[in-house]
Amino acid sequence: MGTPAMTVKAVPREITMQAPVARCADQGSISRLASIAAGEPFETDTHDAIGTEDAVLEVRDFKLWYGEKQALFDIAMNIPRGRVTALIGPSGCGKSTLLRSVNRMNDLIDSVRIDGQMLLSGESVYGPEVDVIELRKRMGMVFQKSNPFPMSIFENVVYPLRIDGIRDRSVLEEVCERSLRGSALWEEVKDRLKDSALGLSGGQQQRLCIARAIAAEPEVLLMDEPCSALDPMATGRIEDLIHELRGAYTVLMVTHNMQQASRTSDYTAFMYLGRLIEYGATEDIFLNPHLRETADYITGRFG
Amino acid sequence: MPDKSFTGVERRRTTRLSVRIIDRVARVLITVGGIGTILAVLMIMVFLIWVVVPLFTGGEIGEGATIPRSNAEAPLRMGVDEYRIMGFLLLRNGQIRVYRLDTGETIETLTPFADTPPSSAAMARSSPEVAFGFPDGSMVPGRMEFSSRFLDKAHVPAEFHDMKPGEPRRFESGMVQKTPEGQYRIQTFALTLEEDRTARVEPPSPIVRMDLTIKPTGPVYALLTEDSRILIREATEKRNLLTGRTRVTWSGDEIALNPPGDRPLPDRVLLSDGGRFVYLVWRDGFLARLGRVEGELQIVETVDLLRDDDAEITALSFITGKSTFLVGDSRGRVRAWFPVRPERSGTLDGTVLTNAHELLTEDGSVSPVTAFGPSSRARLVSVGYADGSVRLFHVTSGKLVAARPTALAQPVQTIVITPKEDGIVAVSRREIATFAVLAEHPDVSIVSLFGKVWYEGYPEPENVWQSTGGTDAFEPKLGLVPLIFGTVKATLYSMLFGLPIALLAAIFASEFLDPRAKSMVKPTIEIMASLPSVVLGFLAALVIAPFVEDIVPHCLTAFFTIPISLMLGAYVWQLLPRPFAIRMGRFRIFFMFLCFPIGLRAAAMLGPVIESALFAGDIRMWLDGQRGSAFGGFAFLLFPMVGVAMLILTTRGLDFKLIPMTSHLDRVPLAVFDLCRFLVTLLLTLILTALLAFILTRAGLDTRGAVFGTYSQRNALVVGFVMGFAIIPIIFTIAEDALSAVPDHLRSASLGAGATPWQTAIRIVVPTAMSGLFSAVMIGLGRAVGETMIVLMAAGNTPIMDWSIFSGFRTLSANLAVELPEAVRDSTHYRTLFLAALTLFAMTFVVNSVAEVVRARFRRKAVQL
Ligand SMILES: Nc1ncnc2c1ncn2[C@@H]1O[C@H](COP(=O)(O)OP(=O)(O)OP(=O)(O)O)[C@@H](O)[C@H]1O
Ligand SMILES: [Mg+2]
Repeated sequence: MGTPAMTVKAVPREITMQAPVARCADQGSISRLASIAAGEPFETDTHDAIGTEDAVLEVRDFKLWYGEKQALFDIAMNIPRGRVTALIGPSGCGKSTLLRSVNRMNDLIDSVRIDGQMLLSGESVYGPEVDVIELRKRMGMVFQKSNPFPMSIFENVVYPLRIDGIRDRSVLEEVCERSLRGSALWEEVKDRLKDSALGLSGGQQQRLCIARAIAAEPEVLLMDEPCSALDPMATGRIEDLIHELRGAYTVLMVTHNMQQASRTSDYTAFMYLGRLIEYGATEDIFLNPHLRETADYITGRFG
Repeated sequence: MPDKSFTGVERRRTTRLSVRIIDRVARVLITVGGIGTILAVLMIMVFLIWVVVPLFTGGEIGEGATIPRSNAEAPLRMGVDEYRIMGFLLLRNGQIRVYRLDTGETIETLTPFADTPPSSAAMARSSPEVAFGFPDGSMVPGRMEFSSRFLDKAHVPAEFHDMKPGEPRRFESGMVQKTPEGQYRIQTFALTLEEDRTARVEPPSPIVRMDLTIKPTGPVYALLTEDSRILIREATEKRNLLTGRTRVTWSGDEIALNPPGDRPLPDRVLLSDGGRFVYLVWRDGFLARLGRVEGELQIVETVDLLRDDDAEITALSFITGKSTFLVGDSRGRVRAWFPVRPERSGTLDGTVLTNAHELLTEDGSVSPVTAFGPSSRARLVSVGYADGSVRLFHVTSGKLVAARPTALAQPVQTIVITPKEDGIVAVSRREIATFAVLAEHPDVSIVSLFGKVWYEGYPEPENVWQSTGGTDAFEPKLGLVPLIFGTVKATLYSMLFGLPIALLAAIFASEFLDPRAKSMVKPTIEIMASLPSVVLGFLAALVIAPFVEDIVPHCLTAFFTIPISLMLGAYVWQLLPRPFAIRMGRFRIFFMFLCFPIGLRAAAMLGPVIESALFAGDIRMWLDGQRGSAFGGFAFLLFPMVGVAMLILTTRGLDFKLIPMTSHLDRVPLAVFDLCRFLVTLLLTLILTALLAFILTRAGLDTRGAVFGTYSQRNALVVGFVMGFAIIPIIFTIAEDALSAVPDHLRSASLGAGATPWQTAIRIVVPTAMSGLFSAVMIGLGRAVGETMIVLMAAGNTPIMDWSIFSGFRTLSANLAVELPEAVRDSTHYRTLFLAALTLFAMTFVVNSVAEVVRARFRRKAVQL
C-alpha cells in the first residue's frame, strides 16, 4: 500500500513580495545550500515567537529513511495549538513525508524507518504501546487530491463516526450538518446529501474531504496541498475556511503557494532537502527572514 | 495534403510506413479474432439447435394406399411384416388370410380349424405366441409369425434377375425382395400349432374369452369358460441341457366368478404383465381386477372405467409391456390406466388402478373409438375411430402425434402399427389402407422434457431422468429437470463452501498480506487452478468420500466449532494486556490460524458426543429415518440461524443500551465484559435453538427428507468440498485483482480517518471493488455449473431430486459425459442429450450475461473515481 503519487507543481513565479533581501544579515546563501546538499549538519533557525505558544505537537530530532535514503534530517519543531502552520519548500524536500509522519501514515510503507520522537499533547506518537488507530482518530487528514469515498455525501462526512460504531441517527445528522457548515459546503449540498459524493465538483469534493476530516473533531488537522488541484475561486473558499478553522483546530498544512501561506497561516516553516531551515511567524518569514535561503525561496530565486 | 498547415509550421517528421502497416495489420487481426470467436460460439449454438430441433417437429400420417377387401367381417387380429410387404388377417372362424399389402392379392389362406372353429383366441403383442380356445374346453397354443430367409441364387427364377431392389414379388407361398446388396430375401408366414401342449378345462366348458402373456419362464394363459370360471394356466418350460428337449409343466389357479350385481359374463378378459392381474371388463365400464392375496386368486378391486352412464367401452387394449391398458369409449375418449402402488391404497393388495392419461382428439370430435393398434416397441398407439379417422398418440406424454381425419370411408375395424413404426394399416368393411407414418420422436415435448410426466407405475407425475433400463418394455424417461437440479445443487453446495473462503482469502491477500508474501501466495493459488479436475474428482471419490463417511458427525460439528473457536479467539485476544497485544499485532494472523486446529480438535471431541446426544448414537441410521427424533436435525439447522439472529440482535439492538453502561470501563474489564456477553449469547443461542427444535419436532416436522436424507458415500458434501476447492483459485485470483485495483488514495483516506485496515477493507475497498468481486463470483459460478469430472466421479450420478447434503445427484455435464458416448446417433436419447448440452450452454450463458450486465452497472459507478 503506497501513498498516492504527488504531482510536482511549479512554484508560481508572479509573487510580488517586497524583497526583504537587504535586511538579511547572512550573505553566504549559496555555499550553505551546497553544504546542506553535501550532508553537513545544519542548525534550524527557529524564531523566538514559537516559544511563546502552547505546542500541541512537539517534533524532536526526527529522522526518517526510505530504505537507505534519508528523507528527513533532525527535524525539531513545535506546532502551536489552535494556529495554522504552513510547511513550504521546494518539491521533494520532505514536506509530505513530515506531514504523514505525524499521523503515522508512513507506517504503511514497508521501507520506512524512523528515529527521534514526536509528542502529541505530551503523549508519544511513536511509542511501542501506541494504538495507531486511536492516534489517527485524533488527527484529520486532507490530501492533495480529493478522495471522497464512492458513497453518498452524508456517508462520506459521517465516516469517522461510522467506524466508531455510532449508529444514532440524530447524532450522525447533527455532526454531518455541523461539519458541512464548518467546511462551507452545507448550503451547496444540503438538498442532496443522499447523492453520490462523486457527483460533486473538484472543489466541492475537497471541501467534503475537509468536512470529513473535521467530523472526527481532531486535535490536529493535517492538510497536504489541499488546493493544488483547484481553481482560484475554490482555493479562495478553502483558504477562507482554513482561516475560520483557526482557533478551533490546529492546522498543519503543506503548500507551494506563497500567497496562500502568507494569507492563511500564522506560522511558516521552510524546509529544504529534508531539513527544517527556518521556522517562525509567517509575517517574519515573509518580510523579515533570518536566512538568505528563505528569502531567496519565497521570492522565487530558487526552488 | 494541404500545401501549408494551419499553424504555418510544417511537421518535419512523418510516421514510418512500417509503423502504419503494423498498426493496420494489428487492427485487422484483432477484428478477425474477435468476430471469429463470436462466430465460433454461435456456430456451436447453431449446431446444438440443429440437432435438437427435430425433437420438436411433429409427426405425420401420410396419404393412404387403399386396397379393396372382399370379406366384411371384423378380423380378430391383423399383422404386418417388418418390411411392410405382406399382412395377415385372423378371422373369427380361425381362418387366416395372408395377402400382399400393396395389391391386396391373397398369397395363401390357412384354415387350421376347418371342422371346429375356435370359440376364442389370444395373441401376444411382441412375440409370436398365440392360443385358441375351443367349445370343448381345450386350448391349443401355437406360434404365428412372419419369417424371412435368403434364397439360394440357384433357386431364384430367371425372371427375378432384373428386379429392382426393394420391389416385392410373389414367389411360392411368400414374397421375395431383392436387397440393395443383391441378395434375394423371401418372406413367408407360418402358423404352427403345438397340439402336444393342448390344455383342457375340467370339467369341460367352452372357453369364451382368453388372453395370454409371456413370462421369461413360459407363457401364462387366462381363460374364461361359459360356466363362469376363470382359469389361470401357467406353462413352465424347462430345457434339458443334455437332450435339448423342452419339458413343460403346467400350474395354475381357478376361481368361480360371481361378479357383483348379477352381471353377465365379462366382455373382455385381460391378463397383465407376468400374469400379475386378470382384468375382467364389461362394456358399461365396469372392471374387476383379480389378483393374488396370500397366494389366493380373488377380486381385489373394482373400478368404473368410464364414470358416466351413457357411454360404453368400444375398444380395449394393452400397450407394450402389458401394464398400461387403453380404454376407448363411444364418446371418442381414450384413457390410459395402469396399476400403481401408492402409500395408502385401500385395496387388498396395496395396488390401485389409476387413470393417468386421457388422449383427446385435436378437433374435439366424439366419434366412438373402434380399434387400438399399439406399437410393440414404444408407448405409441394408433387409434381408429368409427368415423374412419385414424390418429397416432403417445400414451405417456399424452401427445397427439399425428391425425388423419378421413383415412377410411367406413368405421375402422382393426388397426396396426408396422413393426418398424413407419406405417399404419387400418381395416374397414370394404378396404385395407396402408399409411406411411413419420413419428421420429413422438414421446418428446417441452412438457415431457421440463415438466412432470406420469410414467407407468408411478403414483403421481414426476420429473425423472432414466434413459436406459433392463427390459424391452422399459420406457426411457427423459426429463431434464433432475439434471438441471443436480447442476444447481452442485453449484450451490460448492459455492457455499468455496465462495466465503475464496473471497476472504482475496480480501486478506490484498489488504493484509505483506506484498512480498503476496507475490508468492498468489501464483501458488493460481497454479492450484490448473490442477486437473479429474485429479480432484479422483481424490474426492477415492480418498475424501470414504474418509468423510467415517466421520460424518465430526464434519458436521466442525462447521460450528471452527467459527466459534475463531470468535472466541478474537475475544480472548482482547483480554491480552494492551501493550503486548499491540506489539504482537503483526502476528495476529498466526494466532488466528491457531484457532483452526483448536476448532478441529473440538469437533473431533464433540462429534461423538453430539452423535449420541442428537442422532441416537448412529447418524447413518438416524439419516435413514430408522432411529431417533427429528430434534437433532432441527437443532443442527437452526443453530447457525439463531446464532446469526442473536448476534445481530446483541450488536444492533442491545449495544445502544450497553454502550453508556460500559463506556467508562477500562480495557481489560471491557474485554471481560465482551467475552461474557459472547458466552451468554452462545448459551442463549443454544437454549433458543433447543426450544425451537423442540417445538418443530412436536409439530411433527422433520428435516429428514428435506435438508438431510439417507447417506450415500458420494454426496453433495464431498462434491461441495472438492468442487469448492476447484473454484477457489479462479474466484480468488479475479477477486484479488479487483481489490488490488481499488485506488490507494481511498485506502489512505480511510486509514487517515482512523479506520482499522479491516474497516477499510469492508467499508471502502470491498464496496468499491464490487463489480470485480461480482464477476469473480459469476465466473466461479460458471465454472461450477460446467464442471464435469469432479461431479462425475464424486457425485454418485444418481439423478434424484433431493436437497439433502448427504445424497448424490447427477449434473447435466456429468450426464453428457456418461451417456453421450453410448447414445445411438439421431435417436431421441441422442437429441435429448444435445438439448441437455444446449441447456447447459444456456445456463452458463445466462450466468455470464448477468455477470456482465451487473458488472457494467457497477463499473459505471466506479468509473467516476
Ligand atoms: N514511498 C516512498 N518511497 C521512497 N521514497 C520516497 C517515498 N515517498 C517519498 N519519497 C522520497 O522522499 C523525499 C521527500 O518526498 P515528499 O513526498 O515528502 O516531498 P514533498 O516535499 O512533499 O514534495 P512535493 O512538494 O513535490 O509534494 C523525496 O525525495 C521522495 O523521492
Ligand atoms: Mg508532497
